[in-house]
Amino acid sequence: MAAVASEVELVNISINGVALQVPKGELIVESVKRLGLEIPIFCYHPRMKPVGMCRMCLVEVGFPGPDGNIRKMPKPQAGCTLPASEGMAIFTDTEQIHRDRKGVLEFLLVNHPLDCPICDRGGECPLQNNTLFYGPSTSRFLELKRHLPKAFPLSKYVTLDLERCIQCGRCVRFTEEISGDSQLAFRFRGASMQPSTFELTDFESKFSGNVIEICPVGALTNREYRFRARPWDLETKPAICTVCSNGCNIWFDHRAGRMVRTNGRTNEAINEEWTCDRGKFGHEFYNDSNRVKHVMVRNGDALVESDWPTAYDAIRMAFAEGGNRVAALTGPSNSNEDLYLLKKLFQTRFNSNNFDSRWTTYLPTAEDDLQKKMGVSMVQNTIADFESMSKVFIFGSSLADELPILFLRVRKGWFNNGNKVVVASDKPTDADSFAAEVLRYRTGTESTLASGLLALAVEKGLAQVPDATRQSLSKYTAEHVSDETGVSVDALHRAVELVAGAGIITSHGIFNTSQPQDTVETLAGLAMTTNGSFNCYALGANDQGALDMGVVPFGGGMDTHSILQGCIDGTVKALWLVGCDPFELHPDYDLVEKALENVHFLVVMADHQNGAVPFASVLLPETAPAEQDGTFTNMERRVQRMPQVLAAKGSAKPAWRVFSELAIRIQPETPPFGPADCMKEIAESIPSYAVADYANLGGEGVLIR
Amino acid sequence: MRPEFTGPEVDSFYHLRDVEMTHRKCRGLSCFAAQGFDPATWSDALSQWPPVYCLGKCYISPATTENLEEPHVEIRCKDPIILHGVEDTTMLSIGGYLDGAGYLGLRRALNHDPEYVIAEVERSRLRGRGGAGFPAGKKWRAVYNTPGHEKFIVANADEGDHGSYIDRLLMERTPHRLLEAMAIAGYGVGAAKGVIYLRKEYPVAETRLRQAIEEAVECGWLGNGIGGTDFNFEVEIVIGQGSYVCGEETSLLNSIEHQRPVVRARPPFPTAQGLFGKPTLVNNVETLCSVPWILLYGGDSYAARGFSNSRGTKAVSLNSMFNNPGLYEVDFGVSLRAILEDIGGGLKNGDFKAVIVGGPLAGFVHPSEFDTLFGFEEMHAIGASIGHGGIVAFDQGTDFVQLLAHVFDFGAIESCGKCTPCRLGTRRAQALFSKASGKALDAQERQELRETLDALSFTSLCGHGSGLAVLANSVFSKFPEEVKSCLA
Repeated sequence: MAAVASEVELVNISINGVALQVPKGELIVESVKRLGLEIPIFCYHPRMKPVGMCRMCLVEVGFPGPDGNIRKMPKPQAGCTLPASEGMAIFTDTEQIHRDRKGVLEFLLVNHPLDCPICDRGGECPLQNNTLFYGPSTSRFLELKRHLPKAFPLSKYVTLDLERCIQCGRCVRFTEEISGDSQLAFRFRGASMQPSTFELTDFESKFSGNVIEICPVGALTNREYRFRARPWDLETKPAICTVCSNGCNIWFDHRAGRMVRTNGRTNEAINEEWTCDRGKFGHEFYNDSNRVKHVMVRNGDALVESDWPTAYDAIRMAFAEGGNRVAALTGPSNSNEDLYLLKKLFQTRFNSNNFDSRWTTYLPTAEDDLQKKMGVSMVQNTIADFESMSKVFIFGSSLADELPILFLRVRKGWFNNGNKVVVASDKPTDADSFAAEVLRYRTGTESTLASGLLALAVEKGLAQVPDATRQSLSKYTAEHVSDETGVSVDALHRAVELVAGAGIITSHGIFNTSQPQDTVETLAGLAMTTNGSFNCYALGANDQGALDMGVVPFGGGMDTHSILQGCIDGTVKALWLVGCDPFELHPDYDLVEKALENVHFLVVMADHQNGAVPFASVLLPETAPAEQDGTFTNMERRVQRMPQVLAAKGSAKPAWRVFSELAIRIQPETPPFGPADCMKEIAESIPSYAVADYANLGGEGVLIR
Repeated sequence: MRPEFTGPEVDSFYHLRDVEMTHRKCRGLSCFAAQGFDPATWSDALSQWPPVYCLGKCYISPATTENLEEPHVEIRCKDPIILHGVEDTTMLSIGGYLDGAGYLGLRRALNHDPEYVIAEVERSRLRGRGGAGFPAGKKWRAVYNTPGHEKFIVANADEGDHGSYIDRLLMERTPHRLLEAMAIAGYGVGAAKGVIYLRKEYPVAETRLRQAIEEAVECGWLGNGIGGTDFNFEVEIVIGQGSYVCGEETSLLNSIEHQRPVVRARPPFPTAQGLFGKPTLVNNVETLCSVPWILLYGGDSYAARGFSNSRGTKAVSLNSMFNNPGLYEVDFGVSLRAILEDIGGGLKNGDFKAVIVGGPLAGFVHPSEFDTLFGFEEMHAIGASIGHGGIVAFDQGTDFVQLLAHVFDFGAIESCGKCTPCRLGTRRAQALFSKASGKALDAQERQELRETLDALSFTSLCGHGSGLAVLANSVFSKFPEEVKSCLA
């Protein structure tokens, strides 16, 4: 720490007479926190540029005069726009300041409807809190309040109440500075000023839910949460979002066993404090009426309610043959513990390596592994790395859709640090708006474009490659690549300068394109030879964990496509679907349908009804992610623990417990007593996971490398 | 220059966007003062929406767009600097302007290096005529010193402060002087583009300036290779859409950029990051119009005029309350009384109750202070200002509480809304003043008014909110008898 501190220029300031050193230029609103003090704020938000609009954070400022006495500036200054400088004396607690704060609050309350008893924000409202601590105790305004549209549906998720709005501009600035969609703006002026959508259309944003949380009053409320609870009725537990592989930290608020809402939880390494709409509003299924709650066993045409011992016996018999006759497929949101014990069950009890967690068109084989082939990892950067990376190359991914929080970080790097971003994609993406260069290629020419960029980098001396590679690249002249891909020669020339040495982002989505292995290897090669870095990120919540746990058939088993084919031609007799709906995940609907119709014995283990359930021989209720304790590995390979938030539904059990119980029925051993025990076992067979011991999994989680 | 795209977030800010400038009646402070001359017009002005604040015809207040009477213009100092050619229309066309030594200042500038131009302006000790009185040379030097191959000159022709029609006359009668000045500035600081931000209320000035730009381009005084040198300079006119705060330089820049015209935080100052983030020189029209003379006769000659820290001459405009309303050029250092009584000839109706110099956001001047010398510091010492030199007189019939209610109504309508105190406090104060003009406020309301004004004064983000409080406070301290109904 000392080394870091010495690089920053410090200045001596005093706050309410207490002397301290702070970095030069630090905003006073932040400096006061160092003394455990707080300045009331509305418009200021630490992650956005200060604007000094609300005038709530006023402080008195002085400097020592020649006689050593502090000379105060004639007027108070806004703490949010005031940078610390040498000798500055700050006063946050004077009579003048108290009077000014009271004055500002009184103005804000002139128009505010004070409908706190029916406002969602009541109980967790900054305006309420600041009024209580700093404001007047009674209102002097007896006139009628202004009347404006209430409960105006701004979008599918967000409701706007203009009467409550205090015009702080946080929501407007969020869409300008953070999400970048500039969907909100102020209209009119003076007392009529009001936030609304830019073109008076629907508030269409992939990140709209954040404005609900940063609104300091109840002007923007959550349409799904509206009137469903008061904050003090809720139980709030930390959780991990399992909608995609970013692994955002969230708060789950539940009431009487029902999920009521999710809010962003700060994790500087991952989501800072933001959420995407898919995540924030993607947890409704916990309350669905179609949750699977009971064990069901097939009796003729019908599934009838049964119990776990009966189901275990049926599964034991059906899977007894083992080897290539049995198989399992897993879904995106099983925990590491679930997946590890599934693999262990299959390997030690069924003598089978027929399990796969992947659903892309192309499934890389053990030999395709980049680590083996080229000595490089598929994941080389963390999310936070992209903030300071001067060049970023997004290839073949609509990042805002696939990895929204990574998208925000890349955008932040561009917005704050001027990082150069190149986007290569076959369709328009959100990142195009700030990209220094957009390479719009024809679908199917991914590999040609990648090779063309590498060839051009070699030609320009930006990349050093062996002669053999140089030879193999010789046909990828800029003109040829341009003809094939539709990207202009000029654009290729401009882009290659930015792509060389860039941090490359692509996703497992690339495995759904043609010649993906070529593309991946060429991009990894481009990064290697230009001192850049390469990342091919997983997309499902724990897809990376499944790869780490080894839920891939690299021990001589069958992959997803072969397993489904095997079900059709009868080689696979018994199939276990673990938390997955193949109809949703697999690209070939007909293949799935035939496979499920023909397979002799089908175990469907699910937390809610899905397309495979009608085909099930046995239906097992599985707990949803927040109903069990477990760990998830996000796309940057950060392991995080989600403790149990909600009770299990009906007789549902966590998958890891089911695998463990079945295993000891087949052949007794001491089972793991809980997920923490499972993790200890994982660490023994996968040494890189030793750091992920439950004792270490607080804070930002641990990064596996 | 202005992006084509317009959106409701910007358009909705302005109140004159879709308004034709015909059949408008002025609601400015001068017309308030003169409402007794034509109560019908004034009452129409109050009921008209959107309101128009100051048509720049204060010599015929209450003014309307239909009254085309021109003001009396007179030189009341030894040699004219700023109003030379403004008395008549002889310098309207480029021929007349050239006959009167037009464009010779620019010629002289082009014969020297830019450093010479900056130095001349510095030596002239010219101060900004838009209100703040900031030394022009310092500003020019700052832009000159900021590196950058693209810079801008912006003429602030958004003369929104009530009582002033100086810039309007300068642009309508001597449009070429402004263009010449901008070209000199461009040559001096290294800018090739100039923008005149002109308010919509001045349609005649727009026509004349456009005509002048055409002539200047034709004659080679604007455009490429000016005066046979390799200096290029072009001027564009941007018309405001009705917003008082656009007269503030950073709001004005936002308006030109087609952003919402709210105040920008400073620093960075426009001299470093102005229009489109480029170094920009923003000067008021009258300030710029002094420059050709300075270049022609030398900064020292300019500095030799005036007194104290107020150098050169000043144009002042008197409203219709005076016996001799009109536009006059005076030397700094004369007494205010000389301007009001000798030049203005006193009031048409009895004695002065008060005057305002330089717009509604400056303080009132009490008749006992009329012997104050006319200069920046001298006026400041009595809690008033030179401002831009527009003088509005109030006669004995003026009701100060109504006046304050009127000014705060104006303040609330024109508030940009960015900061809380100005957005909400101005309207609150207006409500209390309106109430007080009917019956006296009770003790609690007086207390509230006091606190509202204090909050406005201490917590506002820019000078709009605090300026209104300054005005009210100057009435409270100088005319306590007049505001007994609301004085705490």
